[in-house]
Amino acid sequence: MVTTEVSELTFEGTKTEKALAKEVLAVIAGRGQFMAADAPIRVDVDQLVEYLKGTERKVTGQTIPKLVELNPGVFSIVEEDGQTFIVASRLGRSPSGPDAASTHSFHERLMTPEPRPERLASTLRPRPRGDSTWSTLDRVLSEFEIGEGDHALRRMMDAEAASIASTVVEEEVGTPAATESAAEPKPVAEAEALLDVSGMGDKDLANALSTHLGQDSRVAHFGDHWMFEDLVPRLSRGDLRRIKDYIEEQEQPLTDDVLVQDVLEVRQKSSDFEIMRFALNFRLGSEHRDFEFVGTNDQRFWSVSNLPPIGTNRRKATEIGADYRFMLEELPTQPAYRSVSQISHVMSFYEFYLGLLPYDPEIQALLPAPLVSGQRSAVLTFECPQSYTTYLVELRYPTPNRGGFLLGLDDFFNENLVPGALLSIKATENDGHFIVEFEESESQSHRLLELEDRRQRYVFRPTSFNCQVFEDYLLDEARFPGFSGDKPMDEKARKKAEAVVSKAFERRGNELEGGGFGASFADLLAASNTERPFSESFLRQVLEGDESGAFAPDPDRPDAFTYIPGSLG
Amino acid sequence: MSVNDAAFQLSEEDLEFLVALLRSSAVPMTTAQLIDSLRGRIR
Repeated sequence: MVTTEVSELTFEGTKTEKALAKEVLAVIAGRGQFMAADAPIRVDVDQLVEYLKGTERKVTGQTIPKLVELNPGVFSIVEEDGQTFIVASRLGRSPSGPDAASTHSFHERLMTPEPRPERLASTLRPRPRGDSTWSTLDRVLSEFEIGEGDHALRRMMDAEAASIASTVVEEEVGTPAATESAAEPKPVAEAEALLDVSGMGDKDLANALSTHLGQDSRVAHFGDHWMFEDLVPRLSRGDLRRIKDYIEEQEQPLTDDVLVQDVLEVRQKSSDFEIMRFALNFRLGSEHRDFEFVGTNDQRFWSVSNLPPIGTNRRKATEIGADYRFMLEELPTQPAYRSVSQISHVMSFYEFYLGLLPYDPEIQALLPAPLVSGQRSAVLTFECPQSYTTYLVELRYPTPNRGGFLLGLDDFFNENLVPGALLSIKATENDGHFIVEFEESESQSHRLLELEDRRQRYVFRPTSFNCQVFEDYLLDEARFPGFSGDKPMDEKARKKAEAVVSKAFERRGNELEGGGFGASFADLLAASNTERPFSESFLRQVLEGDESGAFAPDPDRPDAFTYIPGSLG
Repeated sequence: MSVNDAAFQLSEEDLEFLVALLRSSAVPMTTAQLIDSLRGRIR
């Protein structure tokens, strides 16, 4: 092998000199036959001369320096401690310098390891990147005319396209210089990012996490909790079936705590409990066909499709939602969920009859926001310390064309209250649990309005109650004689708010001398709320916005109105 | 500050830091814990 390499080389000089050079290189290669092909091999010139003399060649002390001079690319001379060495490698190349042999040795590597990197190199899977063609988005969009209203959207898209394009460019350029600079720590850029984060409030940061981290496929996210997706235990088909069967068997939505303990059989004190609870919520969250999340952050209820509905069956939930459609305009565009700790509410006949509460701006400020996107309802618990009872209440969040409401308080209302009663609802530390109370008073008896289920007629019955009521909202026979024996309005008529208000005037029965009816605003609010829900502002809107002239403010009484029949279209 | 404005201020490095943090945790972490870690990284 050595011979082959040497034979391919060409040497300078006479024929004899060439032959000698070849032999010298063979001797040097033979000395270093176990060394690396390009490692410098040193041989003492005196020893070499002595050896060559032994081969009967005519050599002197000047022969070797001359050979080196003729073939500087093959040999070199090194002097050390008074001795002269000829240096060459097995490949027949002159070593580049005296330090070449020590630049990269095992000794060096073992004794002086590389410094630790400042940050550990990431071994994470690469994130999906935008295609490089996105960088042309700006050019494509510029062909379309963009109106004033689209400027905000355009700015957002520009920023996004620029960030994607810059990422792609950085990756695609890949020059050594660019790679080096990317690998080096970037103190300036990092400082900027950190400053941004430090300047943000917790709420903004939480929103930012939800927006960006929540979209990362490596991360599992449910409610307020996060975990690396690969570490989240998986539920088998059998687990899912048993969870579904258990909820159906109990005939009501169940919390994650109950399901993990009763179905997955993980004890609450077990170290695996928190992980399994997260796994259950996260995995059920992707089983949209069989399971629906109906909980809050602190009370995570899960439901299945064929459970009996919570609350009244006197009216369909979709119809109730349509009745409360007017409330959509009263809700703030930026809701301040859980911003108040207690509210008071005067109950109307409509609410009492159906066992519900409206999702109005006051209640919205008390209740939590939907926890997951697209959440339609939330099951809450309402505890009444006065009756030692806890009720399961279903909150139906508003949709774009239906108002929201809370169902499931029928028993609480029937056992303790009458329409016109004042009740208070208090929030607790648990965002899904509330305390509902009523102000107790001395026992009173009135002939109060009821709607007979079977005959579907309004009747007055003697009723005793010991809760505090708003007298103006109490529907008793003396103030509203027109209700007696009357039927509720038909579906078509009750959809017209003006028709319901005019009916309320007639049922109040306060006929004016010159014709028509008069009623106070409180009377009208109480009576109108028998047929369909009215808020104070909605009723005022109907009374004051009537273009037919049927309704008018009463000039003789404060906050009262008159109604002239026949004026309404 | 709107949600979108806030979201755009989280850098890629911050997100990678959070992902690495979650990967190293055997139990679920709350949003508050993640925010604390993010702020701790600054200090």
